[in-house]
Amino acid sequence: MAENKKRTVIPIGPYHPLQEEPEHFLLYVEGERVVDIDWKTGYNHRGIEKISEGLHYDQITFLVERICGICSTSHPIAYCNAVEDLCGTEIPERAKYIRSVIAELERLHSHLLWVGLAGHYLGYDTVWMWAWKYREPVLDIMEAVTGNRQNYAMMKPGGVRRDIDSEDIPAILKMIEELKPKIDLLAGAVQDDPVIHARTKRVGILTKEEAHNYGATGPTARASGLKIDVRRDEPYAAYDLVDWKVITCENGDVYDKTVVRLLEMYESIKIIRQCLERLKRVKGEIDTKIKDVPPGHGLGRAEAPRGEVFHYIRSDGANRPVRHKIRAPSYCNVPTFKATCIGETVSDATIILAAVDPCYSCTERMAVADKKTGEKILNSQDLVRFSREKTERLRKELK
Amino acid sequence: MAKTEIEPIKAIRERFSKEIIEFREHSERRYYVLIDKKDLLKVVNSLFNDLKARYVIETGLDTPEGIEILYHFSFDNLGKVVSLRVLLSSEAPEVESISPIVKGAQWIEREIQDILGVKFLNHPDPRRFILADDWPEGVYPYRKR
Repeated sequence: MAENKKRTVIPIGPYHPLQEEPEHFLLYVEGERVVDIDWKTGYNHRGIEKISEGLHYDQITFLVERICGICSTSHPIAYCNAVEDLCGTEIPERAKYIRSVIAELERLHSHLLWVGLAGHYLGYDTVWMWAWKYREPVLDIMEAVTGNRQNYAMMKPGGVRRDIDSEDIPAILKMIEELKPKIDLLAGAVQDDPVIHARTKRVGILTKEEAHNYGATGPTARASGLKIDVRRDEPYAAYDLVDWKVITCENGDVYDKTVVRLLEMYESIKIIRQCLERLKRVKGEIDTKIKDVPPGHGLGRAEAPRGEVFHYIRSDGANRPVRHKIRAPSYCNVPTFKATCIGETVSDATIILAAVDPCYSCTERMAVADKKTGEKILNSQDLVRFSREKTERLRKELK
Repeated sequence: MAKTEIEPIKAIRERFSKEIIEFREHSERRYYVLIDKKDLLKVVNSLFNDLKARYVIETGLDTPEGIEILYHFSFDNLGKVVSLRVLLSSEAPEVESISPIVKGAQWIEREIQDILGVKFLNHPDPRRFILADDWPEGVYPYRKR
């Protein structure tokens, strides 16, 4: 780090102005070029793994639901998968479909949220407002079906806590049908706009090899050509009962990461539609009672919108775990910045960092500094401004 | 997916028949493999570079037998997870860092160092990770006692 004293350090954080989460990155720059990146973390460590050791198995579901405010159902699903793995429990078929419906509705609103943020970073505020407007009906449906816009409290080890009523199904189907043309519009905007191409193609490339080295997951890995998706690789919920496909790209740049997310939304719609059709026919129980938790290992995974969520439980046979390890996808995706940011310009750093859709409270924090003096000269608002100015410049050039 | 292919698990059992202390098959998708810490780098290198397993994460925990570290590797095309286990002494837990082989292991090894006091030998960047700068030395929040 000795040579870093001569460089400019741009601090981003401790609070991200857009994503409103604690994050602290340090971009080391020489002129416009990023030469190194470092991060500080622990600012918002909530000790959830430790708290979990003091709760019994049913309570933990609600605790882990609070890890992430956006993909709030992926942690409970991964956790329930872990407990069910430990106990060898098979959940009822109806519960499987309900789990998939909730998880895919969540993916839809999470990806829409990201598309909006990415638009804003690039200086497309209309995209931002549209995307977030289109996200609202998804949240309304969530509220109608589960009672909450976030933190749905639908999952429990052994099944789900609430049924999806038959009379709710037409409303959900109507919402996803209406959402489809809007995704067409957003996808069209991204695929046809030369300025967006100039800003995102061949920018922040994560090679397939580096994706493997860093253990990247989710859309970040799939954009680099790694064909991995927990929903297909180790089917949980209803993902092996319906027809859908894993979306992958090859280049690993910001553009591909965007395309993967946009196309995944169509797959989510396909999954939801099929699951709802089955729910009309498949009746019965929505949960299996788990009486005893045996001693041993329980390992559960789920494909969150950002990638694989991983839960590991060690049990000694008591009603609470001895150890509960949780790994959020951003924990693996954020370190890839070392491979994607270095060599790029400061004005591109913002969108590269945003392209993995980092979730800081799951993972933790980001800053940029003068390499000669070590002084922190830019904050995150400046970086967003740089990024937006670059788009404006390109837009004029391309006119 | 290609469920007929079981080579990686077989390969691990055959290749490391001497190194494996205990091989436990929890289910057809979950394998727990206890090895000695001296063989760790060899086995990790083989899993990660030859068999192309995806590195998922490490779990560190305090058990009555000592500090245990699990290295979770995923064979995604088979949907299987192989967790390597090593046991370290509670008094002076020390193990080789796998970060020189797996870049993605840097953060979690720094975290385990913070919370359990495990020393990862040859870690490229062994700074504190999640604990505050003024956290006292020698106090590890995830030790059971």
